[in-house]
Amino acid sequence: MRWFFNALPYNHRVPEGSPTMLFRPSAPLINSSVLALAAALVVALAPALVATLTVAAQDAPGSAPRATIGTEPLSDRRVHYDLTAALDAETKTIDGTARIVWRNPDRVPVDELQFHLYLNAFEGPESTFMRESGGAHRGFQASSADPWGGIEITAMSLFRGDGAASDLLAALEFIRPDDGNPDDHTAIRVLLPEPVTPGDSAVVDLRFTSRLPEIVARTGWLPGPSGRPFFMVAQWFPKLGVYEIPGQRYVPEGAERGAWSTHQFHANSEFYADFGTYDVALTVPADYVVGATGVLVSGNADAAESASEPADAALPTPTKTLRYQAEDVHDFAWTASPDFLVHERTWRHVAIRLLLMPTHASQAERHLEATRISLEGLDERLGTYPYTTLTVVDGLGGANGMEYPTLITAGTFYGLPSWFRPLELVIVHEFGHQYFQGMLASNEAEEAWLDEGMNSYIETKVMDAAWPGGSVLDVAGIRISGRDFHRVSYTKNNPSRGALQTKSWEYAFGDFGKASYSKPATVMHSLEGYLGEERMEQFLKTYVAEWRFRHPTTRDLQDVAERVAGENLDWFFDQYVYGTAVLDYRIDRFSSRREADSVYVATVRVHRMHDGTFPVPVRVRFADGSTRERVWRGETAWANLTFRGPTPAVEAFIDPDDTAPLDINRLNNRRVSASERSNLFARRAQLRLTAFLQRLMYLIP
Amino acid sequence: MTAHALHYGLDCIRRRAPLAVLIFAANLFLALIVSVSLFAALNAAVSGSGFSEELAQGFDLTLWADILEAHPEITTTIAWQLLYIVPLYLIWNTLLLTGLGHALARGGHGSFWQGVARHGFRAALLGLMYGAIAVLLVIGIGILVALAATVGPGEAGVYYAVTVLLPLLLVLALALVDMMQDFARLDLILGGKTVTRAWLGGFAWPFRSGTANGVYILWMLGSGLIILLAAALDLGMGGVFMAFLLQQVMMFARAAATVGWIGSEVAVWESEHMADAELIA
Repeated sequence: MRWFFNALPYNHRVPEGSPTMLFRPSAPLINSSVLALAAALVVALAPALVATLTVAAQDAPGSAPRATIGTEPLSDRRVHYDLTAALDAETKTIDGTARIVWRNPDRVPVDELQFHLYLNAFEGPESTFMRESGGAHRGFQASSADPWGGIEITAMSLFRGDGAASDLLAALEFIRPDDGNPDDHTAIRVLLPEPVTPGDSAVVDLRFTSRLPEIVARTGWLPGPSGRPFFMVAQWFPKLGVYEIPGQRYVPEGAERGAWSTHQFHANSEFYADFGTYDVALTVPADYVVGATGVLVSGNADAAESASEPADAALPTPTKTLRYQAEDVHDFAWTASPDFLVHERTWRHVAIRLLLMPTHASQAERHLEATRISLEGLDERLGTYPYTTLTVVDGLGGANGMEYPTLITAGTFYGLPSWFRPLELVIVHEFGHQYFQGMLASNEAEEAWLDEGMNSYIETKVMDAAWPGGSVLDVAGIRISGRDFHRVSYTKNNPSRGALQTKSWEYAFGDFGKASYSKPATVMHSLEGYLGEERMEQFLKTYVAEWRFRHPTTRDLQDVAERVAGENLDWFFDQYVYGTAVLDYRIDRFSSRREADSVYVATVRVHRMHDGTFPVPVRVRFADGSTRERVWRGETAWANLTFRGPTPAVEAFIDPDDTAPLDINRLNNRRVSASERSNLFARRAQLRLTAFLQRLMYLIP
Repeated sequence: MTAHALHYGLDCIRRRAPLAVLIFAANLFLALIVSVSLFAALNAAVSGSGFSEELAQGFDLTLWADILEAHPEITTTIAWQLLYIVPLYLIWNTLLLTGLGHALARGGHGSFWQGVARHGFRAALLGLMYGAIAVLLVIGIGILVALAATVGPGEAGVYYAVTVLLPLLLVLALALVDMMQDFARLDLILGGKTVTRAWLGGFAWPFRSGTANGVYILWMLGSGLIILLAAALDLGMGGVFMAFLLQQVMMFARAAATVGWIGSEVAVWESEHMADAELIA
C-alpha cells in the first residue's frame, strides 16, 4: 500500500516504516484531490486497507487489542508519535528516539514546528517553573543532592523519504513567549528547510536523552519501598505544540494563517497538545512492573518471574521491551516500579489495571470501588468512556493526583480511615479528567478552569451521589460534602480575587487553586441551580458530545450552555467567569402590618452587599404556614419586596433551596420574627461543650 | 491488701459523699464558665437567623464558616478563657487532692479544708516538680516515637508509632508520674516529709508496693470507662438535654471515683507505713 501513498502529491513521501495516518473525511483543509483519490481507493480496496492499517484496532482473535471502542478514528489525528524509550534505572535516564509525524491543518504552508520540552523545567533553579514555584509544588520539595532533570535533543532531522534527511538541530531555537526568561528551555521552534504545504505531513526524527528529576511535580523518580527507584515518566519526550488554525479557539476566523500555541511550562500550568496516535516501545528492567497509556500489544508488563527473560545485550541488567499503542489521545505517560502489586478488573469494556504500593495492599478494594464509581458516575452524566483501558497508579510523593490519557495517579496513606475519603476523591477527580482535558482538550495553560474547575464540579456530583451528606468527611456527626467543601474554599478565600478566565501564570499568589478548582465548581453548581438539574445535565452531555476530541474554549462552553438554556447567559459568564463579581444577598429586615381582616402585608428589605447579581427566589412564610415567593435579580443595591398573606409573616428567606452557592454568606439570607427566634442550636452547643470540657478535666490527673 | 484498699475507697465515697458533690460542682462550674460565653456568642449569631433548628440537627460547614467569619470573637473568646481556666483548674485539682488526702486518712473523718490550708502550698510545689518530670518524659517519648517511626517499616511504621506507640507511652508515662505524685503527696500530708524528700520518695512507690500499682490501675480503668461511656453517649445522642443529664450522672460518678481513688491510696499508704512500723518494732 505504500506505493499508493507515495504516489500522492505530498511534500514528503511517507517513508518506509512510517505508519499511515488515518484522516477523518471531514477534517478541514485536506487536499481535495487527495481526498477524492483516497475515497475511491477506500471503496475499491477496503479489505486490503483494513489489513494494512497499522494504527487501527483489530478484533480478530490473537491480534492486538483495541485501544478505543470506536471503529473509526474518534479525533482529527494531526500527529503520530513512534517512540522508543530505554530506561536506565541506575542513572534515571531515558535514551529515546522519536519519529513524529505532523499534518499541516492550515490553508497555508507552515514553515516551522514548535515543541514542548517540559522536562527542562527541572533542569535548574532558574527555569520559569522553578522561579514561579520556589522549588515546591503542592507541598513537595526535592531533598536529594542532585534532584535535577531535563531533556536534551541530540539529533533532529527532517525525513525526506528519498533516503535523505535534512538536519534540523542547527535550526533549533528556544522560545520564551510568556516571560522572556533566557534561562527557560521548555519550548522550542524549528525552522523547516521548506514549508509543509496544506494537508501534507512533516516527519521528524529525533534522538533525545531525558534525565528524570527527583519527583517534585508529577514526573521523575523517587526511592521505592524496596530501595529501588519508582518512576513516573510524564512529559518525557519532545512534544509538538498545537497549531491552531483560523477559527480554532481564539484565532480569528478571518486570519490569514493559524498560529502555534506553545506556552512555556509554568508552576501553575499543565499541558496542551493535539490528538493523535502513539506507538511506543519501552525497554525497562525485567523485574519492573509497568503501566502506561493505551493498550499493551506485546511484552509482559508484570514483573519477570525468572531471570530467563531475554536480555538486551546492550544493557548490563536483564531488561524487557513492551510495546504500547494508543489512539485518539494527546499524551503518553508511563510508570514503572519493581514494588507494584497488580490488581486487574473489568468494567464493561474497560480493562482496569491497579498498580498499588505494597504498603497500601489492604486498600486495593477501596481503589477499585472508587474506580468503578467513577466509571459509572461519569458514564451516566457525560457519556461513554471511549477507551478500553484504565490504569490507576498508587505512586509516590508528587507523582500522585494527576491525569494522563487512560492512566491516573491517585495517592493514599497507610491506615486511612473509611470515614475520610481523600483517596476516593482523588480517583474520582483524576478519572473525571479523562473527560475534562482527556477528551475535552482545552488549553490548560490559558484556561485551567475548563478542565480543573469543570472536573471539580463533576467530581462533587459523583462523590455526593455515592456518599450522600458526607462524601469528603463523615465522622462523629461532622459531615462535609464535596459541594460544601468547594463552596467554602471559594467563599472564604478572597472571593473577589481571581477570575476564572485568567492565564495560569498571571494569577496572584494563592489565587490559582481557588480560581481553577473551587470557584468554578461553585459557579457550575450555581448554574445548575439556575438551569435546573435536567437542563444542566443536557448542557454537559451536549458539551461533551460536541467538543470531545477537540480544543474547546470558555466561549464554546458558554455557547453550548446558551443553546441548551435557550437564552443569553452573558449576565452569568461576564460576572462569574470572565469577571470577579461577588454575590452576597442579605435580608436587612422584614415587618408585617395588617391591611385588612386576614390580610397582612409583609415588607422585606433585601440588600445586595456586593456587585454580583443572580436571580433568586425570596420566600416569606406566614404564621399559618403558608408561603409566598417572588424572584429578585439583585439589579438594584436594595429593594423593598412586599408579600400578602393571611397572617403575620414570621420568616423571610433569600434562596431557600440554596440554588446559588456563589452567595458568600448564607447566614444573612434568612431572618425570623421575634416569636420564631430559637436558641436551640446555641443551647445544644453549650451543653456539648460543657460535657466535653468536664470529660477533658477528668482526664488530667 | 488490694481488696481492702478498694473497699476502704468505696467506703469513703459512702461516708464522704459531700466531697464528691464538691468535686462535681467545681468541675461543672469551671466548664460552664467557658460554655456560657459560647452560648451567648452563638445565640447572638444564629437565634434570629432561622437556621437554629437546622444547625441543632446536624453539622453544616457553610453555615459554620459564615458564623465564624461574622463572629470571630467566638474562637478568640473561648481561647482566652481556656488560657486562664487551665491553670486555674490545675491549681484547684492540686488543692482538691491535698484536701482529700487529709480528709480521708485515719478512718476518713478529717477536715478537707484543713488539709487544703495546711498542705496546699507545699503540695502545689510538689506538683510543679512532678510536672517538670512529666514534661521531660513527654519530650523523651516524642523523641523515642520519632525514632521508632523512622526505623519502622515505612508508612506503616509511622502510622503505628503515632497512633499506637505514642498514646500508649504517653498514658503509661503520665499515669506513672501521677501515681508517684499521689503517694508523694501523702508522704507530705500524712508522713510529715519535706517537699524534696516527698518528691524523691515518690519515685520509689511504683517499685515498692504492688498494691499501690494495683489500686491505681484499677481506679484508672474504672474512671476511664466512665469517661468513655459519657463520650459515647455524647456522640450517640448529640446535644439533647437528656444526653447532658445522663452525662452529668456519669460526671458525678467520676467525681465519686476521685474520692474512692484517693481513699484507696490513703489505705495503701497507711498499710505500708503500719507494716514498716511493725518491722521496726
